[in-house]
Amino acid sequence: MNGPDETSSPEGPDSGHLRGRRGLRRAEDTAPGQRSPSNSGGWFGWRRSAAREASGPPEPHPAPRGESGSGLREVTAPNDAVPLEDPQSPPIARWTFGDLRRAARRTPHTMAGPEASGSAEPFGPGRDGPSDRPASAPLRGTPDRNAGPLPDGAHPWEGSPGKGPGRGTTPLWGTPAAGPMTRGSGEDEGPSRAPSDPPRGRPRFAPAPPPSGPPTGFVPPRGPWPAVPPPHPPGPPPVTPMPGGHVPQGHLPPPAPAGPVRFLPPTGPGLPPPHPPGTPVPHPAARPAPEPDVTTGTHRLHWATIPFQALVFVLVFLAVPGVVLVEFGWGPVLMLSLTVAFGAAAYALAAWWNVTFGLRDDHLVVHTGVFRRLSREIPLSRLQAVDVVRPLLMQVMGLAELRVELAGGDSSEIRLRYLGRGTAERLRAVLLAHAAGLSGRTPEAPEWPFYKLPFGLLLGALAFRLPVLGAFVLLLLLLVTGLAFGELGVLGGAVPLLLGLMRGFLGPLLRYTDFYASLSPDGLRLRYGVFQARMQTVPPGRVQAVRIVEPLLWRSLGVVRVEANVAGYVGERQMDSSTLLPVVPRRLAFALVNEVFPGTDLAGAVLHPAKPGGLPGAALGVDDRVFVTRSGLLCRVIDVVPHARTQVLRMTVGPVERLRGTATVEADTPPGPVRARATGRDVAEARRVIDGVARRAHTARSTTAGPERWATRGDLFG
Amino acid sequence: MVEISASQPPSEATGGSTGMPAGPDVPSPMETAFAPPRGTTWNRVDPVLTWYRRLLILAATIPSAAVVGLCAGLWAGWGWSVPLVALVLAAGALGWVTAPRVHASWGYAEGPTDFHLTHGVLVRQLIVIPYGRMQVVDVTANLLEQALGIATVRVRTAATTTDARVPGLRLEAAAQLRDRLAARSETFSTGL
Repeated sequence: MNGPDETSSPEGPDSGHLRGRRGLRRAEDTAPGQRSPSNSGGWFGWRRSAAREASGPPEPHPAPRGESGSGLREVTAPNDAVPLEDPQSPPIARWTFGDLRRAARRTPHTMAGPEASGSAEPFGPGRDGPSDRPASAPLRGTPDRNAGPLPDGAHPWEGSPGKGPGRGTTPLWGTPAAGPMTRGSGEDEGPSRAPSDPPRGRPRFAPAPPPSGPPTGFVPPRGPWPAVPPPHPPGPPPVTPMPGGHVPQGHLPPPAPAGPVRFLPPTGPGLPPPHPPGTPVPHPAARPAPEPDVTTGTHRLHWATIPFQALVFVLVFLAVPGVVLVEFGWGPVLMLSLTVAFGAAAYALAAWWNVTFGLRDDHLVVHTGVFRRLSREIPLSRLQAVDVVRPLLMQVMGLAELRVELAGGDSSEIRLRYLGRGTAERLRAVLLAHAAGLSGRTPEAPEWPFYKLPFGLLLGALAFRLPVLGAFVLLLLLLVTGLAFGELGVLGGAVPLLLGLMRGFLGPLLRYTDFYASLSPDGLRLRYGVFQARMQTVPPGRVQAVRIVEPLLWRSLGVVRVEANVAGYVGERQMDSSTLLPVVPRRLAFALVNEVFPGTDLAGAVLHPAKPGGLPGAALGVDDRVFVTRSGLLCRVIDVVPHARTQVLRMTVGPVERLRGTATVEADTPPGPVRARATGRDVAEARRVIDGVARRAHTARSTTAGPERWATRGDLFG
Repeated sequence: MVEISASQPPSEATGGSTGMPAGPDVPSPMETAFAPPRGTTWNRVDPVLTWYRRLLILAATIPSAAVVGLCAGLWAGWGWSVPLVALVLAAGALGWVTAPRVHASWGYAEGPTDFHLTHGVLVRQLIVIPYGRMQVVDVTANLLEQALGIATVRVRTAATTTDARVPGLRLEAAAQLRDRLAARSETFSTGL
């Protein structure tokens, strides 16, 4: 744990904050009467984790530790905190695959279990799952896991412990006011809070419109960031203490109609927001320049698009033909440039005029085209992901591009460029609300920090990989020899190496600088990049499969990379956007998977190694929720496909495999980096796996409806 | 599924071990692994598929043998062309001989919740497609297939890595299969 540890010292306090916050949320859960109007806007927790709730009051002592070093820490802390200060929570971060393998050996090779006769409950992991647990217990988090500072544990999804496993009973969002309020206090309230350490990530994307009336005075002076007002270490049993005194709530406008709040279901499309229109929706008022209300009517792109496009035209003209024309003197060039500028401006004006977008019911209607009109109507229930992209220039100009991903292939993406930044973010929230089945006027969902990637860790991890190190060493050798012998021929080798390094090291480094991931009811939100700031949002249930990549050297750092298959990300954008977490401590990665696929316990999954003699390192595990494969000896890859998302199951036996009596089992998902292939399984076992997974997948599909309009149903993630 | 096996020639519906290599009386583990789902049998495709395949092989072999022979003869001497042509013809003959086995390897079964499909001689595959995951079911027939009166049913899902198709169905059987699959995918429908 070299890399992460450098920041580890001050985090104790931070995790305290997280806990404190969780306590706060839970307390609020118990007192639904107090709720901010914005909360009643209908966002409820996008998942209710039955398992976790059932596991009882997780944290014995919310340990409100004093103060933290800087606000940033609060998220990074838990990662690093694990080994150091939470000895009694060994969980995910601790186990290694060696443990796994050992445990798998301890348990009989279940997958190839004795009863090969294809019983009704054919395959091992499922069958043995429960009974194996003891054996694998050391691997799993056990209750302590929740007690640990796992950030996800600190997340508000944890309902009040009192509510028991009835996951449906507590709104996760909807009650607690902490989210938006604190966030507001954290960032929007800039002046009042000490701007000591303005989290680098924040300014680029304001996550939410300014909250109505956040408690300015209360704000933690060192301004940790989004939430977590440290002052309220709402005592240990966070459940009971109705934090009347705890600040954010005190400021909440007493939400009269807040009702019992489960979730306030969506009003029909176009209907007024679920909450009384008077109280909520603070943003329009709060914003200095009222932005257009994107929920109604048709809109155009930002006007600055016109001069921008014209400028680009002129620059291109000057760069290409203009250079040639200089021979004729500057006069003609100037004249021609002016002509081009006017023409381009006229065209840009026409194009700008012709691009309109607007919401109609549950559809986003986009008209484009000057000469050839194109009109697209996108049912938002089919939305796969929404990204806001802001290249450097656009950041300067305050513009943003909005990309709406649909599941229809490479050309199915809607790109609106460019919008005003505020408009883009508002539209993003509206689209996601519609996708969830809520009214477009629902305030932007709150979010809870999940992970912040320290730059040092990113830099170190990216550099600390065999290919990068190897290429670097080779490059140095080449250069040294080239210099020593005055030989220019080394450039032939050095240039490709340099390009490779740029692609494998510099590219990700610049791309993921300032990486920040948060969880919100409308999905997983990722913000990253400096030169091209991006905000990605993947709604819940849209992640089709996940893989955890663990290069050889990263294992000593305890970090991994998490990638996902999302149906909208195909072709070029698959490379672009499918990485969910570029560098993350292993246990957080597992925690994320558990969040993305509710009900899974990845750390508890028992992997069964393949028959010896095949590819080394291959293993397969199946439990009630997921199909997990592991592959690779040096670079370990764990692919996770939840049964509910499995598209096709395949068993393949090639000529060599036939000799060995093995088969390959594969769970296909929409295209992406994840390919869950389990090689080297015994044929009989493979067939049992196929049958068992097919059955579970059927159960999973019939108990969980699709992700459309998820917020209006209680059954998602059932 | 009873109605399906009824639509097939009875001789073809006899089970999974037809035509597979090394079939002792006791089903080998491989055969058990590729057995049809419980309560069903593999529906075999029409024997015309054998001839369809042979015609394709013929159409590929003869021209390529001619081209190979000519080129080799012109450039390297006619002594070279004979073995090369023989090689190509042997490959064609191999395909011709194994065509029945390829045909026999195709099988499909409609389970209660999933569509099962198996094929492949060298690389055997078992594909399980949940009805709810089917996005498109289409029937195609190229010119040769049309001449032989067969068609191919193709099932598409959101996973593009799988090529799920059932070739060599009689036209009516193909249309019926398509309709059944479409209806079931409707009943089991799930989002992406």
